[in-house]
Amino acid sequence: MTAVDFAYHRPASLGEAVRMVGELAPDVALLAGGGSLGILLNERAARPANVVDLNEVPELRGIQEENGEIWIGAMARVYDVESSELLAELVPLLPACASTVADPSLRHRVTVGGGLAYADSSASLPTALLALDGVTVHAAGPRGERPIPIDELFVASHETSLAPNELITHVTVPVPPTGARTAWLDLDRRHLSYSLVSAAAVVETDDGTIRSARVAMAGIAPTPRRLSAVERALVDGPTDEAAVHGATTAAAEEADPPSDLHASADYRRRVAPVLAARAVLEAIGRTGRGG
Amino acid sequence: MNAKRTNRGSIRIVTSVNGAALEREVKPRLRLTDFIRQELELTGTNIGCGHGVCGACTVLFDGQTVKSCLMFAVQADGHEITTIEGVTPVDGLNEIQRALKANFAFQCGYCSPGFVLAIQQLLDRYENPSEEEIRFALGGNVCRCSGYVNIVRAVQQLARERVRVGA
Amino acid sequence: METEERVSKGLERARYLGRSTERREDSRLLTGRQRYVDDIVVPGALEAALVRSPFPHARIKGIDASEALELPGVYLVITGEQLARDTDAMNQIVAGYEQYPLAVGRARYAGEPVAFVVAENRYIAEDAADLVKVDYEPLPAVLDRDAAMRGDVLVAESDTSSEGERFVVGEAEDELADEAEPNIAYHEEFTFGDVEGALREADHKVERQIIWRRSCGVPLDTNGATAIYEGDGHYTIYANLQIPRVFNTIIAPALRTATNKLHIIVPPMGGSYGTKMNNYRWPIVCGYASKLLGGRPVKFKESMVESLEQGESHAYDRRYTVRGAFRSDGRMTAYSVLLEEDLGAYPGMLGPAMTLKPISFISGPFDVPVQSYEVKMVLTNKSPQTAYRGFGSAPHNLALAAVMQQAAFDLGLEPEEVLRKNFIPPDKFPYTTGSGNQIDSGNYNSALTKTIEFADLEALRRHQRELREQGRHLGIGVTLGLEPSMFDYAYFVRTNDAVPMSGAPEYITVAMDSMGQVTAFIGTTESGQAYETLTATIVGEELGVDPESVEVVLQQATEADGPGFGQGASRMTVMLLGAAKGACDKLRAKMIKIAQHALGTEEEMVVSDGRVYVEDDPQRGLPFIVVGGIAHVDTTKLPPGVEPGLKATHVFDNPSVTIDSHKGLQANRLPSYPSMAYAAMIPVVELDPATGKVELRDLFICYDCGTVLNPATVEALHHGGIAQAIGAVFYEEFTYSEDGQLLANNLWDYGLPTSRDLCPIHSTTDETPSPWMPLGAKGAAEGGYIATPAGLLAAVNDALRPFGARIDEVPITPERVLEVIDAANGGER
Repeated sequence: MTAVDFAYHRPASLGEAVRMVGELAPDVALLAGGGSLGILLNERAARPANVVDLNEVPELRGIQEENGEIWIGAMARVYDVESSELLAELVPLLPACASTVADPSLRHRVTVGGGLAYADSSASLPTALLALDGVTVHAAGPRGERPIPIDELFVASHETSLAPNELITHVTVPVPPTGARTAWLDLDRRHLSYSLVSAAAVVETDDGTIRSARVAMAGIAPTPRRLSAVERALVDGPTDEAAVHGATTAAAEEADPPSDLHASADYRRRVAPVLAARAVLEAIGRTGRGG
Repeated sequence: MNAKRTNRGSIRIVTSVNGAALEREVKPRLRLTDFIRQELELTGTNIGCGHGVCGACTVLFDGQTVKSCLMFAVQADGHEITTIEGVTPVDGLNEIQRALKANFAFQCGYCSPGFVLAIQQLLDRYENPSEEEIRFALGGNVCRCSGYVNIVRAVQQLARERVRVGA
Repeated sequence: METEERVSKGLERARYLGRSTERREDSRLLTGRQRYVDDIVVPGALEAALVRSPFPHARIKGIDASEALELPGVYLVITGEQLARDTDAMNQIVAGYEQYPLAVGRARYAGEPVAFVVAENRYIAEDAADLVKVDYEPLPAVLDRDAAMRGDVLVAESDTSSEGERFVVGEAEDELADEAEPNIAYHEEFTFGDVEGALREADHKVERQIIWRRSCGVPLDTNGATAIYEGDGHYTIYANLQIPRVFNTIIAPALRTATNKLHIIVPPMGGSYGTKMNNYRWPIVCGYASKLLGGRPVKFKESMVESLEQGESHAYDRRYTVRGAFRSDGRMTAYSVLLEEDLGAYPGMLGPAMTLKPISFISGPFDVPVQSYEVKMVLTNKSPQTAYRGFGSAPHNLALAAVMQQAAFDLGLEPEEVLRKNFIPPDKFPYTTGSGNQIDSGNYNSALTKTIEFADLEALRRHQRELREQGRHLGIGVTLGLEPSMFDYAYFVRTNDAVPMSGAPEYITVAMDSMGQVTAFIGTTESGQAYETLTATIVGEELGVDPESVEVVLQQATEADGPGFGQGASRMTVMLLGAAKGACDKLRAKMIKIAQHALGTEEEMVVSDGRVYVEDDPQRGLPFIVVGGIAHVDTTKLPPGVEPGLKATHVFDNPSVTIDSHKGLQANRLPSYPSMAYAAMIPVVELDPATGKVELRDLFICYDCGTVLNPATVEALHHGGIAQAIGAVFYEEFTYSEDGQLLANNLWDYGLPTSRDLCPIHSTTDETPSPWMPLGAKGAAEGGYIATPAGLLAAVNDALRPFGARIDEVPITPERVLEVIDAANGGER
């Protein structure tokens, strides 16, 4: 219930943070919202010699629009995403997803960057970001800044392509076209726990046909994953329920789900197409319950 | 501000708890809940699960509810903390506490300080919350005794009263 | 339901009882002023941490604490070997088993404590615990009951009982079977009537095998203790321990001292639901540690992970094989139960008795005298159990209700028809069950009818048909289950001839001071039932004074004015009513004597409204302050032969002891539960066959716990019980991995329901008074939990019916639902 002793470092600027992380790596853990690291530390599952607290670095905060993109600081809280009027107007998928994360108290602390860096299979916001087009995760390290297309961020369960001496500074999200319709869906066993599977859908339609589709899911692979085969099956297809459910059957092959005490891999593989279809149908304004 | 290190591996923090400014030296790994309960002897905040689920450890951090078991005392440096003791009048009960009592909301009481703060946050944010919004907002506070029915009733009553009073 | 306006039937003429009196305790709870065990600061207290076995079964070859002891701030490391040498083993309720608070020689479940490290604070204690080196030799482990019963691995290697003494109770005699039954701590069969014959002759038989996987109360306040050795065998121990006056009989011998030298102080507990009955380990170890440290206070509080893994905080890991014999019209003619319970690594003090309680209501609310009950208590390398709400009743109700529903389906009847056909009719009460228990009262038809009307069952079924046409699947359950209250200890110790226990009395002292102020003293611990408010209302009603003016003191074990056990088995309301009447009768009699003498009259007088006055001439009387003054400080005015003071203690004997018909149960150590509350319910769920997810839509319930003293608090208790039932049926399971690790060892994974995980609960009540209990009241504190799981499972199986599928286990997970649907499709998806 208590952590091992660690040295605590609190940078007051981004430059200081990058320098500290560079010097202390690899035996350093970055403290963002504490939703993951707080638990790992207190259960002694993580025993870093150093902890760098990013909560007082002003350059990592904020959500703003810059050049047709939304700039989201790594330390933007999930609550900030949930309550952002800017995002509600321009990227509604993100507040919709954010509002389902845990509970209000946790959302006041857990961060966008923290979720991305932890790369958990069931992470919600990272999955939603994966579904959006052109999202870039920006990292900074001793060798400078590095943009990482989000498709290249997640490597394995709890492993990203970040180097041990890098930290995420912000995420840029191109504003989706006005015709893009989105939905976020969870399948929970119980609300305050990790979802069994979740799906994010970003769809454009034109007169009963799907013109573009991006579908990402949580809980169906070691990390959040985009379902490219499903997307291909959806594009240029009809928007009716039967067709969409037919298209998402490809999700079962793309899935490589984890097994845990709540559900087996087999179960997750089986329901993945259902959730994917329902998310797509909800995005395009149907109920999604038929299949 | 930078963390002010002392010779013994402790960090000096300057914080405000329930409106009172104070200065302490804390070890980095000291949990915020332990700081509140042991160092400051404010035992109204309780430890339930210690891993961010039950909300018995809820306090306000710069006015926002947080689960203090997932934070460290060093993080309080430069910030304001409010505990249940900070929202309770010297004598008697505040409006939220009165409504909870009148509605038989709690039984053993272990979770109730956390709920009082969560309810305060919810009423500050929502003017006329639906039942679903209330349940959603309280979804991070576990009560094992009550089944939540009367807690929700109390919040609905409070919300109605606030609308009436024009709060 | 507007509880504010409701007054209990039968208490309309009362002044205070029967109303929803606000709880005075709330002022402490809501402000954070309440002091739970972890809030008690004992100056100089050291804190402890545990070293725990990572293996479900392992020989402990050696423990090296030398490096741990070198860490600054570390005071002591205790091992099981030391406890075995310096303390006595903790009693187990099954003869022939031995357990110490730390593993001795072998660890028998993953997480079992192996060493206890005492240091300046918990942080350092955990640092030191990390440095303790334990040399384990892993052994094969047995993790399910069938493997255990095959006997390849013995959990209790050297215990004689694992030779399998088998007691079979026929109608007349005990028979001892010779064959060895490995890993069965106790096995007994109770047969009442010709069950096999009835099954052979039945028009229709239902046989089901039903699994209830382990879950438990999981209060947010975990077990903890602070102990101070005071010298000469005296200990002061703060602990959140339920029923300290039974479990001090484990602590004192363990510490090799006497019970009257053990000052156990139990502060208000943050929830118990029975689970804190097992918090005797830490008082023993902390006490022992304090003695070794020359009296330095030693404190230990379990973290939640520790509580779930090694707090012995599990319950009900059951396989039921149940059989019902029916006539074709739905009338049940016999009911047979086989219960195979996985108790974990030790029988402990509580698990075994929880398997026996249902003998008091084998066929529940149904008039089925021909019945049998066989129980096998199996040991495995998992956590032992503790008591939990209902003490074994909820799973029993679940299995019975499943059989009734199945009969209805098979015979083409509505479930409520089958229920009504079999209910014990109101005119048969007090009713003697096949097993010899007498049930006080019940009007099951009334509760069921009320629920059906309240829920508008007809409309629900119409709605269900409409939704089915749209491809949606609603499930509607209709059940009624008994919720026993008021226990007696005789059967509790059936599994251990060496332990004599019977009855369960309770005392109260009511006193009036020199200023006429009233204080009541009771001997119970408290975990949310508002006993102060309850007692003040009862005493206020008796003496005709405003309950607000009555102070209530909860006496600790060594201060208690009389015998009693305190909270448990929903007993305190009835016991306090009985005790308070006796004490107030005595007090009133003395007050009247004093007033008569002071006024020089022999006329009849009454005590009410703060005065003692002549019944026929109310003007003539004395206020309490004068009567109290005479009794304490103006004592020359007392009548001759009357001693000073104004205090009366009364002990109320458990009705199961005073009611003649229960004496036989006592003598035979069979469960005696004379008071049965009950609840009828109609839960409504919706099943999503594509994902297996079950959404809760509504729950309609009518509960009857006799005369209700405080409608609002009783309703709130039921809400909580229902929520726990929903948790047990859908979200909560102590899941173990194949290699014996507890996977659900935290609250992310062990699913306590939040406010978003329930459905609207619509409750109404009936009040069928008990002819035996004071004011006709019955126990209510476990209510809602005991009857509800049965209704929830019935609702889900109603939803599964069109698929030809059925689920026979709880918790009901989405995956398990899909499995049964697949199975009904012949394995196809």
